[in-house]
Amino acid sequence: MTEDSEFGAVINNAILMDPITPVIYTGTLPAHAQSALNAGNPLSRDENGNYYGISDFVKGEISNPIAQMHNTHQETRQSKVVGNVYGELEPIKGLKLTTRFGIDAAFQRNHSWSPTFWYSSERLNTVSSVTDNNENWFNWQWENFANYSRKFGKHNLSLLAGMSAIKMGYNRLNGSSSGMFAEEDKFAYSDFTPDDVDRIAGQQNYKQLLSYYGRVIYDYDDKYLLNVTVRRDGGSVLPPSNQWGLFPSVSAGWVVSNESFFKESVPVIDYLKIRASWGINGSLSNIGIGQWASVITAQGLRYPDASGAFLVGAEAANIANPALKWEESNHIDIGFDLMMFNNKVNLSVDYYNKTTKDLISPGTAPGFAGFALPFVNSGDVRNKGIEIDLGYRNDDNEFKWEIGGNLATLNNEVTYLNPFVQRLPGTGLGTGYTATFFEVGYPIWYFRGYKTSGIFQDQAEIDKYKATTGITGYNPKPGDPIVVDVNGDKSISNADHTFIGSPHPNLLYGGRVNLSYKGFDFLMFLQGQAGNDIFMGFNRVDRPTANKPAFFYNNRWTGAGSTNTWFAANTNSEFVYNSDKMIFNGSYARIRQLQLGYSLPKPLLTRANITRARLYVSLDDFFTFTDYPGMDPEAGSNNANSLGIDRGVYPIPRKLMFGLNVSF
Amino acid sequence: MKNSILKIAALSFSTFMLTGSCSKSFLDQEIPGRLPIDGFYKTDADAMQATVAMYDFLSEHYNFGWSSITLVKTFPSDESNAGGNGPGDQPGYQALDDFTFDSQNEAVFGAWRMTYYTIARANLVINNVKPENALRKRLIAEAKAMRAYNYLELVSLWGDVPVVTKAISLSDFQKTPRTPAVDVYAQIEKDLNEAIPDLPLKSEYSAADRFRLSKGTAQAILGKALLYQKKWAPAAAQFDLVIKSGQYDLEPDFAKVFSLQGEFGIESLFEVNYVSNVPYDWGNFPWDNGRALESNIHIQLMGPRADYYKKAPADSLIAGWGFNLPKKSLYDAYIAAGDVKRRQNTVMSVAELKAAGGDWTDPTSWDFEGYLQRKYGSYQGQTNGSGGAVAELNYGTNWRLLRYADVLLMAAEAYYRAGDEDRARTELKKYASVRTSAR
Repeated sequence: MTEDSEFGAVINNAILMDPITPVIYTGTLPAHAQSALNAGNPLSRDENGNYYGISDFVKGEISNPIAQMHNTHQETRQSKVVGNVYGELEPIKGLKLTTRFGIDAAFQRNHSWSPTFWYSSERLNTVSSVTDNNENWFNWQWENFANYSRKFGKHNLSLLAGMSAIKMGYNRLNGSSSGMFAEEDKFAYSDFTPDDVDRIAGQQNYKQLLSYYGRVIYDYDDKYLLNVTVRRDGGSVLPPSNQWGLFPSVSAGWVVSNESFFKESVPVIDYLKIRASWGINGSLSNIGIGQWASVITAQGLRYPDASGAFLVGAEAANIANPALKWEESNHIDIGFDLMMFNNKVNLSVDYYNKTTKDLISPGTAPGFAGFALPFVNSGDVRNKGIEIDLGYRNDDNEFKWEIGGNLATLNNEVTYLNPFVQRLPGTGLGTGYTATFFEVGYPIWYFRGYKTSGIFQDQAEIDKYKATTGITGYNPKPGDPIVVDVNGDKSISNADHTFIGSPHPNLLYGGRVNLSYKGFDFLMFLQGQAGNDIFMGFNRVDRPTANKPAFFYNNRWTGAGSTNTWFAANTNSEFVYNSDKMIFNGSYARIRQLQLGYSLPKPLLTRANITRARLYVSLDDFFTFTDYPGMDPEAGSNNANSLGIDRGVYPIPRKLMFGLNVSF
Repeated sequence: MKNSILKIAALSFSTFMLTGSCSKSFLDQEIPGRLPIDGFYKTDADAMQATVAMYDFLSEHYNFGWSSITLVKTFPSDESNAGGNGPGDQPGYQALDDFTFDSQNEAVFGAWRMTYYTIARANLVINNVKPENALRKRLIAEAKAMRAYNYLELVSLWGDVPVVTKAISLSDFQKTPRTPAVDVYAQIEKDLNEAIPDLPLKSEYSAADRFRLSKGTAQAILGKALLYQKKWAPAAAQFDLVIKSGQYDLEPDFAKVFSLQGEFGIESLFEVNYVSNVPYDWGNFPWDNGRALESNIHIQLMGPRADYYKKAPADSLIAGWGFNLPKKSLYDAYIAAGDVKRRQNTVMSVAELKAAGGDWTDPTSWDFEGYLQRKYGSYQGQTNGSGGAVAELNYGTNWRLLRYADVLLMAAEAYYRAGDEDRARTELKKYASVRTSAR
């Protein structure tokens, strides 16, 4: 069952399905369903034999989500083996030699079958099918390192040098067959289906990582702290000449409060540490094996001859990119930690600036190159901001309380892009529209589309707008959004697409409250973000009768003067659905947890040999504060270039929980 | 004691690792299922597979991201509207229809890119296969004709375009200039003149091999390239070779010209081949991998929109997504010319649909002028809806890229412009006697 897609995914369909079609038919079937049945189509039924509702209004692949769930039969079982053995030797005092070998293996079987069903002429399955996928991962890591620690007076020194080798193996075997003897779980194995429609697929691969590293930790009298690390990492997925990257980092700290002059002059401060760090981390992102190389493949390449028989083709795939290298993130952090008033108040403040250089992302070659460029070091992205964490706790009395909050600002911007492309296209949305782009000067994978400025109220306003701007070939009606001719070429075309929103918040925050009095305790945890946009992407311009959120109707333009913010009823205009009209403020605050507990008195428990027993009631993710009019402000996709696009995903459920913790 | 022996053994083993002697080999990467380029293009079988990949890309081109060059050329014309559900459905197509497209238009950009992708695969054959025997010479000639065909598409749509005849590396991205159109044409002529001697006649290919570029096809492409350059007499000479080759004639039954039944028939010079036997359903259709797609999804794209269309009981034209809707003026032009047979196989009015017992429920639907298209029609008999296959996804209908009818009409133009009106009329009459007579 798919999610996070505007084409036939279950939550998307729950949104787009019309409200008139029932989930199941309990009486006689309506004419359209009866005629579908009469035509011999396998309409789905629930456990009680009732047919699932079929929409006569919403067409295409949009279909009854409850029927989809009923017809989904899938299970995944994974067994994992994780473990390591090590040997340690201390030949001289302070020197420790360690060798460690670990494995991390997972063996997974995914089994599914699909019955025949008919939701519409565009969403049906006429032959039942069975699919089994076996996937195995086998990773081992071998580490060898030497650690030497020693104290010379007030000098503390720790030296580490070592290496690590990792091998990651993967294999899978997929099989499917169709034509089940009966549509039941126990027949859902390929032994029980006809042999002539079996399919098989599979592959096996290995990749390796090799690292050497060294580290110096030094402090003087717990006042001056220094940590220097250098690592050299080699990744087999990179071209042989670029497999190695060098990644240093340095951090230094000064515990001011350990200075004798400080202790005397500022007694109210218990602890103060000023610190700074700089470093480079390497990442291989998700580069696949051999994707930098131009190598011969025959995978999926076939062409029918004039008699219909397939001929196999083979070609050099991809443009070789021998310059592909490690993605680096260069980060600077400056800050301090502070404790005051007998450790009751704590405060941490940090400034951070992290620049990801040579970001590995799917490549875009000029059209005339004639091949795809799978991955390139395409550009630089900078994230910077300030992080603050402030708290107060008081355990002095029987009423104990703690209150705290944290806050971070985020400023995200693409600072470099390979100059042969103006902007990289990200994700497509709906039919024929690209919604996100990667471009210098903008947040990474920002939303791009038409910019609008209000609603045309009447024909006179349209005429005036066209006369003053000189735009031709643009024929809006009263109630349509006013589209801005961004590039000033006196026409409205997709050359006017521009920045319409960013999926990235510029403020992230959290808050916590802990209270306790005698046996009672109370906990609240709040989390939120502000400044990010959500692209409402579940609507479909090619499905005119698909359902829409109620505010599309309630807020709509109904005549001159009715509203200047929302358009007249419109199911299919790109000026509405590919524009900033679909961009909403995604800020939210969510109370993640609200919990009240009561611990039973000790004397009562000791008799039953119980150390602690606590009853609690908890509201998890129960309260959300947001202006986003969709189902959930956290509904965005997890794909990087699709972040913040709401195609319809399971909203985070509200939970009410009662519990009992007992310790013996 | 025993324990410490184990420790020492492990440590000495790790010392071996630390020496780094095996580090180079440890990072050696095996690429499963792939062969280095220098291990390929050696045998006849390699050459054959490399050529198949080139033809396969042509079918990818016409399936990739809704960017078939045929539709890119059709929408700006006055024969049809973009259609679909509304102005936001495939905005790239709508913009072509409305003349608001630019270089970033998805369909335009896709057509540009896909044309070069086919050229790149032709380049691989031309540059890597050694012409050591007759078969390989022929395959190289096919690749040269394919390259020329695609450059003719490019130069006729964009004028000056980069001429790429070698594999491109990253450093070439910014230093590959546009080539003046006259030099693009020179490259086209050179490729075709080199290919023609090595290409067999259509009849010299086996029936199964008739998807391949033949001598007649290459000559017709050359004639077209010369015609576009207003080199009238040399163009006429090439068409004359095709006409006199005795390999082609007009398909007497017009219904077969753009349908499954007439594929690789007497009128065919060049087609993109599709089949309906894979079989696709909504679950296994390779939406984002046109390369794996073997059916022609554009037929479904151009079928009458399912939301409004009720099929006439006896008709076999089934519903689709409603793009490429004919204009009224196209229908009227057929009526004015009294051209019944071609009209019936190209465009149908809603009045005709209703008379036959069908219906169109929304006369105000987007871009709809009261007419439905039947050329490359979504006919039930051209797809496969059995054994789990879904009819909408399995049209096997081929795109016709070059037909003998084109050759006759281009010949007539070339002869007329070259001053030989009699010969021009002769070729026109051949065409008219079969096509426009009220048969």
